[in-house]
Amino acid sequence: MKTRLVSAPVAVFLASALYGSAGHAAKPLGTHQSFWNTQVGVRTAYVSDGGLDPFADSDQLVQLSLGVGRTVVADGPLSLAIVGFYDFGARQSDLRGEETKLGVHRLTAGPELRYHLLPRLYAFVRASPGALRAQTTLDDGATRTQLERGQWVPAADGALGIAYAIVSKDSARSHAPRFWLSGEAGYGWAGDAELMLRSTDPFGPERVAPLELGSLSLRGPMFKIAATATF
Amino acid sequence: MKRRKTKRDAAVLGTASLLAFACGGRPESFDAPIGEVTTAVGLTGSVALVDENLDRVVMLTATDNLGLDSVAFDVGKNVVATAQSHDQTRLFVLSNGIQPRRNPDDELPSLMVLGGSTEPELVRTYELDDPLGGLAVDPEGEWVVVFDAGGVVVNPNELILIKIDEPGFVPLTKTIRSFGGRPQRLTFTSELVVPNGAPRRMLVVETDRDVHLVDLQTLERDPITVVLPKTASGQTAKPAEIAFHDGDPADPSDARIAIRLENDPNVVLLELGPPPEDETDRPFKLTVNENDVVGIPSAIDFVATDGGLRLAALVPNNRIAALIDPRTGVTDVVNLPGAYARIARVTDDVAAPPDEGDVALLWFGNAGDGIAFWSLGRTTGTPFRSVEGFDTDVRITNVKNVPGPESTARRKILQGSGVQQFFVLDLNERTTFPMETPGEVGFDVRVSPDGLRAWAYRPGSPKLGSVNLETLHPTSLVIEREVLDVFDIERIGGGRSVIAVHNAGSTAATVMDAEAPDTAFTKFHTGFLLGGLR
Repeated sequence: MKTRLVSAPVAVFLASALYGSAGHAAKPLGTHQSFWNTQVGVRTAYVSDGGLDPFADSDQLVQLSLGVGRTVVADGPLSLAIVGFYDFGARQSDLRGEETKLGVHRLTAGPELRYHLLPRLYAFVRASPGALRAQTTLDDGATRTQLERGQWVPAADGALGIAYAIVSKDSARSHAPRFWLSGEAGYGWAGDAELMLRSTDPFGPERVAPLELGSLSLRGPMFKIAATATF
Repeated sequence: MKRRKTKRDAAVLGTASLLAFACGGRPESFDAPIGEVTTAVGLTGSVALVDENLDRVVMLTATDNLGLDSVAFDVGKNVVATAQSHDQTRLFVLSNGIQPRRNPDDELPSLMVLGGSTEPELVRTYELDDPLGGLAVDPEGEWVVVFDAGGVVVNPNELILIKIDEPGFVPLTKTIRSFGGRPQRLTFTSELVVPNGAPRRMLVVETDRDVHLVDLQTLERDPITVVLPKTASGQTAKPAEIAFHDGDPADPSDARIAIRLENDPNVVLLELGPPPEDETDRPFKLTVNENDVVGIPSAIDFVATDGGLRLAALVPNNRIAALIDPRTGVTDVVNLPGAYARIARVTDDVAAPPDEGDVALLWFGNAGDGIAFWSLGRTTGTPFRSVEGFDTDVRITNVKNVPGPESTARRKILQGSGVQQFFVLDLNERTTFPMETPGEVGFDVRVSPDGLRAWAYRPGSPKLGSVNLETLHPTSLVIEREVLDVFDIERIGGGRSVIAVHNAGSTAATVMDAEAPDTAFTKFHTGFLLGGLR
């Protein structure tokens, strides 16, 4: 069963490659393929690292994902785009009664290789390195202040997905905007963020030692559902 | 059928795995309420915080630059008692485990021993059969006794003896033969020389109606039960205090244990004398004597006088002390200038002690103001010449010893209750030095283990003070949060730190250099109970 699931996307690619090599050679994809795109979506990551536990009572990290990109090379059904994303999400919880918050900003950019199965349907694979900022806070009852830490760490996404144009002119020359729905799955990696929370409140006690809560590794499988406008 | 079931199980397992992957909760410990840390224990090189809701003890150690490290030790579930060894090197944690036990894996009651140096460690764990709630710790560090049984069927007179200084010792259960009572208080004697056999220590168990002696040298021997006399009203007397003395070191037949009775003028004296000639296997024969001390005594102690060893009993209502000759039972009455209620021997700490006889410190308790030095070099006929009183204007209710170097060991801390001062008593000079705590009633005083400082603090107040016990120079400190307790501990790498524990939020502490405390040089540490969660 597992083998079938894994091989399904591969089969789609192989089939579409055959279809593409035969079907699209004579019919250029034009603006179906070469476009600027802007995207808004929901990215959900599953972070099993224990560093998330102080800030969330489950492993999901849901982020709003905004993207922009441009096709830079097209050859037959294949095309290459450069895309960039800004993802933002937050979790809020409490750690033994002390309120905690986590804000995650992820900036990534990289190449996206697309293969058009149909003018309105393409599959893509993407690798996008970048950086992630984890902003953590804890409302500390002893100091009566907020302890916080913001830290940039390296990050990267690798994803495989498919997009379908739900609103699209058939003409390959039309510059009218098209609207696509896409789904993708992959793995989001991020470096370790040290959870050394500090008090910066001038009304708190003097010389508060940082609160060490270990480290936070915001990495794990992810999937994203997005709506994209191309023009 | 079997195959179908396997498929179904696999489907259930797969679904569960998928849900677990999708939801991925966190350990319950992250949601456990912190509650109030009511147990903070100071040890030689660490401070132990009992995190009852997570069944663990968080040990704090002081590092350079006012740092604090913390390490958590899992202890048994449902902690019911903690106690420290008298030298403050060990922490004993008694827990009941899971009660009632439903599964073989359910945790048994246990006693855990943690080392309290600058490198805290789990020293040993003793599994126990039954849940018990009481702990008695031997001041000489050899024994710990667990008592006070709980449960459905209770043997309240069961004691579990653990020789704590002997690794591998299997806890030994003994039951005292009480006639309806249950252990209230346990006292470990020092080594007593007995007529037959090696010198031995005894465990004296007081119930609410009798007293039992457990021979710690020969544990297989049954405890000896001492039935107490009836009071004048016909009630069974209740023990109130134990005193013991080995007597003349050269005489193996004069070790004695004394029992003060509650609201009764009789004092019971137990003599560990020679057994009959045909019972040479017995180490001693117990002889019980009663002595009337002409009033209800409030304190007893063995004292050396120029006439020999005596049992002193203070009778504050009659303003007298009774001196009982344990050999003859003859009682001398010494009139005192006040209703002194408490007594402590201080012979070794005063200047020019009598050639023969002790010097005792007397104080009133709640009955009056002042203290007195009672020289027992002469006892009969010249009582007033031997009692030297000092007015303190405060009712002294507690006298604390000062350990440590020669320079401070001859000092004691005198505390009253509900007053705005305490005293440093210099036994050598026989003078008292008042230390005021203006506007702050109810200060507690904790002497540092090295004996060089006393820390005064009031739980719930951010104010604390340090008194250098060599120079008597006080330092006043107002820190930034209310104090729960104050501990003066060794620091990793040398020196000493003072840890003021705050019972707020996730438990915090202010750290200072104990030897040069200054609120301009502090560090505030927070979140001790948030770390190390699993």
